[in-house]
Amino acid sequence: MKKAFLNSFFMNRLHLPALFQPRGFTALVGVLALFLAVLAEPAMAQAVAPTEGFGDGPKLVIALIALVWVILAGLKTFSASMRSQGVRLFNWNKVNAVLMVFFLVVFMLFVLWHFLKLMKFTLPVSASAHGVELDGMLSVTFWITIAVFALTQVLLFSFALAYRYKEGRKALFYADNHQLEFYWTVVPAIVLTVLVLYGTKIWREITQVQPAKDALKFELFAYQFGWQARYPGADGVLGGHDFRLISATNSMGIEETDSAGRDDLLVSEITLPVNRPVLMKLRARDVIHSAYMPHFRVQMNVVPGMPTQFYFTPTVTTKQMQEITGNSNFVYELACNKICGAAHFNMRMKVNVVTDTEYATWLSKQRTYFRRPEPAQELLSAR
Amino acid sequence: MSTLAHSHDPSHGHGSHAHDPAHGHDGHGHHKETFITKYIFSQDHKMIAKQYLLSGMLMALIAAGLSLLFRLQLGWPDRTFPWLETLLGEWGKGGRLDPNFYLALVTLHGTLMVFFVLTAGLSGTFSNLLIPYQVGARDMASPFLNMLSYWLFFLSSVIMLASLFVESGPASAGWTIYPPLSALPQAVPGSGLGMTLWLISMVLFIASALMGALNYITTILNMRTPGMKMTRMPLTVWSFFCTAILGVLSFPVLLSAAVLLVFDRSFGTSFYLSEIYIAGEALTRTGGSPILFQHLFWFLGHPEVYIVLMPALGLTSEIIATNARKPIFGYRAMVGSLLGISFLSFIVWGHHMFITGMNPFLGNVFMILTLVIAVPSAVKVFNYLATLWRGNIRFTPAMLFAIGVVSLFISGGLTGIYLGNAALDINLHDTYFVVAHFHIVMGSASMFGMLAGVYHWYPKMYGRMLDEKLGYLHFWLTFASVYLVFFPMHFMGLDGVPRRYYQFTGFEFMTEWMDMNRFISVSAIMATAAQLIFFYNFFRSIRYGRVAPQNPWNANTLEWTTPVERLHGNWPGEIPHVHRWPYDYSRPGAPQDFILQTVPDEDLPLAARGRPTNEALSGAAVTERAKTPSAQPVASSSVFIARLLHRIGLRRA
Ligand code: HEM
Ligand SMILES: [Cu+2]
Ligand SMILES: [Cu+2]
Repeated sequence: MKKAFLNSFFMNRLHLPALFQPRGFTALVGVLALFLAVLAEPAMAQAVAPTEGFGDGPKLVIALIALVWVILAGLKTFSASMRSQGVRLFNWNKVNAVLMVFFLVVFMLFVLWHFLKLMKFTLPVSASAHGVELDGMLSVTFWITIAVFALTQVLLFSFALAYRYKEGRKALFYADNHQLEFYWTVVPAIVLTVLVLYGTKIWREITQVQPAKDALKFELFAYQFGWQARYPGADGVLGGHDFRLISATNSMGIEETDSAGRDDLLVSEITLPVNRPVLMKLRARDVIHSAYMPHFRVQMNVVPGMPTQFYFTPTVTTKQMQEITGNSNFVYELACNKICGAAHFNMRMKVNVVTDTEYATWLSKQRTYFRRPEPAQELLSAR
Repeated sequence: MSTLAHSHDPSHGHGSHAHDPAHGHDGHGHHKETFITKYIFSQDHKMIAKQYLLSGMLMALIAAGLSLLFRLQLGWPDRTFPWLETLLGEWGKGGRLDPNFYLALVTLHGTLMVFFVLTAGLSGTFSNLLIPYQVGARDMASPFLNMLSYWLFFLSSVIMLASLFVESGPASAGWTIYPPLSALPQAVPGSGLGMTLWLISMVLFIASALMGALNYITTILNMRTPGMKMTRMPLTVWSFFCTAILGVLSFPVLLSAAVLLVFDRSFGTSFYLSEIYIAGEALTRTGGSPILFQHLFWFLGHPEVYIVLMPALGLTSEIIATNARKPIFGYRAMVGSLLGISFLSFIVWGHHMFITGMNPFLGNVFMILTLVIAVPSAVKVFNYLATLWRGNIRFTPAMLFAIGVVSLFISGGLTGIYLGNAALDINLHDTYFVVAHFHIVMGSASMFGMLAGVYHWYPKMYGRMLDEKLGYLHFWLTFASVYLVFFPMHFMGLDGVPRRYYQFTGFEFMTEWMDMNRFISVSAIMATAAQLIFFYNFFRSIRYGRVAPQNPWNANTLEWTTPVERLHGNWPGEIPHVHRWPYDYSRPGAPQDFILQTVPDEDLPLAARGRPTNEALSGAAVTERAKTPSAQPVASSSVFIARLLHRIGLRRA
């Protein structure tokens, strides 16, 4: 009698318990989340102001937790009292099943949001020739994986809802299907084979080619915590080096006795002429570093005792890239990307890509590595 | 000894085992347990499992705490937090983290999570708990070695944590401890005493892992109860088996890498050192190769990631089948892919080294092998989906976490396809893309597997049930926050943002991620806070949880035939024999929707006897109905290996 009354009261007139039905419940959670978001917005904005601690952040969080707690506790007592009257508010299995699909929807929107909003924060078009190839490969991989991602996640969460426990239903006894298994082994294998063939092709083109004769050679030297670059002089040849020669006045350990090195230039910013192949020679002084120029899709570790190199062709000048990105302050940057100690995060070097004429002017202004073009007489005789 | 004798004498199954409660039918046997032998130097696999679990949980809490400290730095690089100085002294001077200490935090966080939580805490707990239970043994092959394994692990944990208290700080060369950074105290303060402690701790850890793994392998091969063929083992046991083999074959290589590093650090050798000028002098030790260390490290390192993941997948298989009330789809393919992954994981290590200066030709080889490993991984995902399909799913907290594992494994596995491609890796290596990849596929998926396991087998550990509603809350909060934390990191990686950076203020192109970093930090705090719900639930339920019924999930495996009360020796009477595989769920004709492995065909109605065949599909969804298992190209090799292992097992039994 009482139960019937309650049922009719809530179900038919006020529709209150609908809120606690799984569908309604998820809606409730959604509204709640929205509410919290609106609430959090100004506080977040306000929280940016202080320079110490979190500002009002923690208070806000505590308030939110308290709020959620109160709501949950309320629901709990309510559901307990209802249960004592024989009304079961929650079918938890169903709640969870519905939440699965709710999660799927929110998750997919979340992913979509990332692509719409965050993609523009990611790297602009490649500033190097091989990078364009590489980006093509990236987008092929992207479309393949995103399709598999969407398909499998959708199946996973919707199976969760569709096949949730129902009283009296029996699961299908279905232990294998060799044909199906054969297909879902072979199809990924084929797709991956395509990716591998494509990938090895590009990898070989990038790393296993003979550098062009007219390639600009320069040396990049990494140390804790900074970079130095050395350009060959007019002879186009970098002088020899030996780590034992490193000293306060010879920071890269260049052999002063090697005549090829005497006209080498010490530069503080890498400057490259556009569209000319570059062979970047890498050397480290102390620990492993990594020369990373994301805009050029260039990265190679810099290993003490084991010179490495990277061969590429910059194709977009800094000025052009400023136009492309719409950011007049845009600069190319070189970062260290292998943990190397305390100031690892601060190992930056500026990279400029310029036209040939600008390059020639820039080059003429660089000073030689050794202040004196000829090695000091006393040094030579000391040897 | 023949199989005949074997099947007639149940006490035979545990060979050399010292305890033999088979003749103590009162259950507790005839020997007294003191507090020390029961709780501390226990040789009981169940107690050791709990010791591992509690240690793992503690380490997880500490590791998460460390991560919050550095997330604080990343999220709010422009603020000071005076309490940091109170907490950390010199390392938190002026309320800001010291950059060296930041690196130490990152290093210790990674080390603790990968080795102490997800290797010891996960494998240690569940291999110990479930192997004897599920193969039908009274204990491990060597309970003593098992005890030793835990205590070595304990010692190594203490030493690792102690490194937090040395003046020059803990190791800070990253969890991968690449030399020369890790070899030279001049390079970073953490490479002083902190690194020494790291190495000592890891040597002990490796010894512990080996003892554990050898024990697991021996137990699985030799101590299965009559009828428990290799092909009737639950996938949990299969996954522990593969994991243990990986550990035995790969951990010694890490040991050798570590020992050589010790030599370089302390005895003047130069295995890894060459042409180094540091702190104002040129080292006289030359001729070594830093790349050698990376080869050795990743020869363990890659198998290690599967050592971490496979047990989670095993637990997931079991939990999904049980709660979907369906046989796991493609049991043989599941075993086959475990074996395939195990084998392949030894020959893909070079994908961590594409741009180290390693000969680029090798890059091709490792790229091919790496993408091959994605195939068995894909098979596993599809099989999970097929297991859910047309099931009758009960969403226990364990099941929720198991579904979480599948979702995370998909998300993180797919990004592996980017990274495994040497060409793409040029621009992604060591960026946040990698951080996203491995935190999702290894960190989160394995952690979810572990949590699923705890929710599912808690009744077997404590005889009580965890609170389900708190479990739901825990799951949903954790699941949401894990994606909130790690998904955006892909995009930071695609923008070329490097990992292990103290702050992102020095570079023009990284500054736009400030807000995102703050968002991630807030989400990380939320994720950690959600774990407190779990801790509360865990400890509260030990005393106040609902008393567990005999078989709370109506599962098929042997552990649910043991009494709820803990019992040294597991079964009060004879060890039950096994008559079927573990996945007879919802078998047509059976009186219930599960059939314990111990039930012989004679006890079943005629319709439910014999070799299980697929139920006819109604509707037109799939028209091709599989016949009784025939040798298909996919399964045959796995079946062959399974048989082979089976042979070995029989011969030794
Ligand atoms: C589909 C299969 C997978 C592929 C193809 C794959 C590929 C890769 C590659 C190529 C890297 C190196 C990235 C780099 O440093 O530039 C990597 C990193 C990593 N992967 Fe995977 N992965 C896969 C699945 C997994 C799984 C299942 C786990 C763990 C359970 C895992 C854990 C890791 C970890 C921990 C790292 C980073 C190690 C570090 O540098 O600190 N991966 N993965
Ligand atoms: Cu660095
Ligand atoms: Cu790997």
